[in-house]
Amino acid sequence: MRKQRLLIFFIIFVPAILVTVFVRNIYHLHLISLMLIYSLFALGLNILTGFTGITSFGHAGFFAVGAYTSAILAAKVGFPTLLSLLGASLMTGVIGYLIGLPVIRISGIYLAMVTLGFAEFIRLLAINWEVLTGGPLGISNIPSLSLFGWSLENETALFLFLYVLLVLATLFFMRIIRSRFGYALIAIKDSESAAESIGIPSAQNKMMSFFISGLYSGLAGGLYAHFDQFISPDNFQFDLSILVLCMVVVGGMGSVIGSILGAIVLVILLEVFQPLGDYRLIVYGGLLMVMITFFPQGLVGIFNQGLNRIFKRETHGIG
Amino acid sequence: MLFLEQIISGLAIGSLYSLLGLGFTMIFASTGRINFAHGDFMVLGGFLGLVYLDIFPSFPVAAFVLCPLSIGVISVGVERTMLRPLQEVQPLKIVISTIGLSIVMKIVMQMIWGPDALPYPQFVSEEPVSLFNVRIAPQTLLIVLVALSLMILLQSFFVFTKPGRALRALSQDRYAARLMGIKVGQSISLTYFISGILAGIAGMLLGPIFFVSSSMGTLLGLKSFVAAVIGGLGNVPGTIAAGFFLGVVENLSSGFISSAYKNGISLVFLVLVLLFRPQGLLSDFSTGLFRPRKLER
Repeated sequence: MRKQRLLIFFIIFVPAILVTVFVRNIYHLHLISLMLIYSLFALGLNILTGFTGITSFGHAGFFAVGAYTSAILAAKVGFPTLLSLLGASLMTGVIGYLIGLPVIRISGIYLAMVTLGFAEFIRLLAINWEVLTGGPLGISNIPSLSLFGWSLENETALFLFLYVLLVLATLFFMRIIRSRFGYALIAIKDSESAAESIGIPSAQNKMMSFFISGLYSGLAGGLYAHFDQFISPDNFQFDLSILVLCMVVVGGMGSVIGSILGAIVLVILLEVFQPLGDYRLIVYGGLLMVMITFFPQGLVGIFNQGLNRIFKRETHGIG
Repeated sequence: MLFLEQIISGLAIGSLYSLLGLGFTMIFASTGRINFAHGDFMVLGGFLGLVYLDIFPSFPVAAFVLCPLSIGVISVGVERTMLRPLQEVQPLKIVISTIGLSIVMKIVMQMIWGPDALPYPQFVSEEPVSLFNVRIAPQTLLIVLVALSLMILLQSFFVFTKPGRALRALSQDRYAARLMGIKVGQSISLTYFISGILAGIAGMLLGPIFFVSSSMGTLLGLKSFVAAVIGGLGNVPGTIAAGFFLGVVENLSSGFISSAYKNGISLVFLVLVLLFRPQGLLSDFSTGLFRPRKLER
């Protein structure tokens, strides 16, 4: 037990120390911060796709709601950024809950299409509601993150802030998954009728899952707005929904570490294939196809299999 | 008369939605799957049509025959190599993998034919015909006529031929169909072949109006999917009617209200239909040709 705690302690602190000490290149720090934001976003999708078994093709919509809420609150209303982030997160959570309402009637591919329609609707709203969103030009003077008046303009400070946030969010996420509610979600994913027959209200739990997904995605969107200091409707196209889906699939659906791993891998891949320009999208496409066909458990699944092979462990299945 | 003209050009777009939507509906009926890359098959059809038109400049009918056949073959090839091995995986995972396919196809087409829209030769004269004071472009007429005759052909295929009846049986109950000696695998391939042919024809028909560009597949595919859902996924007559309906509504609203939300309208329809009538608006009118089937997660 003690050993395990020590291990967790190392897993949490070592990357932060390594990055703060060794990464001096501003651009690399910038990329690492982006990974952290996308990790949050991927966690938000994962609670739906990986744990509840609902696929969303419109998470860019959630991200956009978070980004716009936080940007408007901070740049136009003048909220401190921490407060605007909180507002963005809650707002997206509530909208997520509302998007989740149709689960009472529909599921599967139909629900996925509703989320897709929602994302497109949000994008159209962002383009056409010029008074609030700045129209196609977007919002450009978003203040950078600040902690109680102390502005985080230094990239290392920003990284540390995001890192702490991600660690807290991940721990909270694990807490949710290991709770009664989390087990209920997994039961629903495995078999909805079996879950209902033992008294788990599936619609209610699914809507709650949408709410939490909104909280995480909105927080990620808000962070992105302050991080980039500029947002426009172009940032939130279908590609973004696919990107985050790709992160979850590549990392491993239903795995907390998988989401973070997926975000890291995809940001790196996008960076490596930067010279390809628009063609680099082919990387997502190829990855989605290959991973679903050959490695449905994602990188985490591959890793586990490898460990099992090395240590000749009995497989317990993923759960 | 502007109103009528809007309706007629809406019918032209609607017939494209119907042709593509039929692909969605047929594949859904026989396999319970959604092929997200279907719109990209149509775009590929548009590009291949251009290639064939270049090869047979004086004989466009050859292109009209060869291009849909090629798309049909490619569609079957994709089904055999990529989708069939996924038979036992959850349907949603298959959708995700066809999204991957869609992206790959789009980028490959962009590599070959470039990112810009390519102009298309006109098959018929551009001089509008006047009919009772309503001016109709011959291309519009051509599209609607071709689409309608294809749908009639398809419907008679389902009703009067043995493979067509096999497909209907398959759509109702896969296991019972297999027990009755229907070769399920072959029938599914046939579905993909037919849907590929329809997509190829749609691609060539759409060229002269919209031109072809590698990125147009997703949106057109999505709207056709909306048409299929409004008509009731798996319901062939419903999908045809809903395709026309969607095209007309979209055209009227962009002509008389605002074109800013043009693409939003079909999505609003989608959400409303899914919320209030998930089985499709026209499900009561299906005469058992292709009964809508509920998709399990």
